[in-house]
Amino acid sequence: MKFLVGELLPRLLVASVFLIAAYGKLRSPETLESFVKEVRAYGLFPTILSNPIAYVVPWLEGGAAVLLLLGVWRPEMRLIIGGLLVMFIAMKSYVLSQGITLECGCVPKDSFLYPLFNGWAGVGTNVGLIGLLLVEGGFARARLGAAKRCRQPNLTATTEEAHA
Amino acid sequence: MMITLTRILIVLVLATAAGWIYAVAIFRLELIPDVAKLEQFRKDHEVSAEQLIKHAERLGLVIDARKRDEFLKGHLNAPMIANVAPNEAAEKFDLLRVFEGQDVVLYCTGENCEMAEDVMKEIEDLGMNFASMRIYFPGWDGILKNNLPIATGEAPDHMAAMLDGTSGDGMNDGADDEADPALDESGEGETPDESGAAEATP
Repeated sequence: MKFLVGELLPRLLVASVFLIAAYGKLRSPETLESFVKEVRAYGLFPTILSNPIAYVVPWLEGGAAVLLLLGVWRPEMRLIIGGLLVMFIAMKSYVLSQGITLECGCVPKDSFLYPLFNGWAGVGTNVGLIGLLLVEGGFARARLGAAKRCRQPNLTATTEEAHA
Repeated sequence: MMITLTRILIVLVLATAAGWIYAVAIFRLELIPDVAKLEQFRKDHEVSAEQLIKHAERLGLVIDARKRDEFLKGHLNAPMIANVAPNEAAEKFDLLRVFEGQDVVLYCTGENCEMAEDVMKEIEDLGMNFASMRIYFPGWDGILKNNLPIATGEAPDHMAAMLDGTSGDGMNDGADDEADPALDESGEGETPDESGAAEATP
């Protein structure tokens, strides 16, 4: 139960959001081009870098989400997704604090998740996702720690048996 | 630590390769944007704050390409202003056909906003025939910085009625059917200071 609520559910939620976000950008040349424009609209990168950056972000989102979901390199995927979320929060907060309202390019406009990422709500959602990652990481660490503690006496016993 | 960094690096490299290959080889998009082309587009289409005001005063059509909630919070106080954001229904664009043959100036949130360009592209795709389409690139930020006249709420009644499709009569009263001299590329009706004003606006 602890595994389900503490690890699997947060992992599922974070990975699903990232997969929806990645799919929304990669589904057609138009959506990818529109994401390029949204990246450019932030005005935080030189125009010349806007395309290369915008092409990589969805793959990073999608790839990290798939690996997190499958449980492959989980601590590293947590770091990548967390890093992306921190970057999104910083960019969005900066732009919104300047009084500029932009399409954040987070999730597709026709997605049910869109209202969660619109304006300051998007900053809140991203903070929430970081929270879920921390919960997931905390539960995973606790489970691994407990498993280690359980294994150690057995190992000692086995060694003692061998000596005997 | 080393293992963690290596794994992160592997994912980053793979995502970069996949992203670039997908965009360039499959979608045939540019890896490096043609900055010169983007600048040329800007040069060809920009209007200064003074030109925007003159155009509005001559009852020229001004399109605010921002989202509706932003438009309601504040927009340029122009008699012929319409709020048409990208991806809006084609019917809403069609209602602008009354202004065909005239000049149009569009604006959105600010320097980096490309919604005005998107609306311009949609208008072109719909085959609407305006005399010229120009953009006030500093957008809403520039309108505030330059203390241009602003209004809040809906567009003026006649424009709102027209865009709701309830009335289209009398929309062109007083508007020239010819190209707007305020936007004349020859510079007629424009002083060097005016063109400089737009460049100086961040």
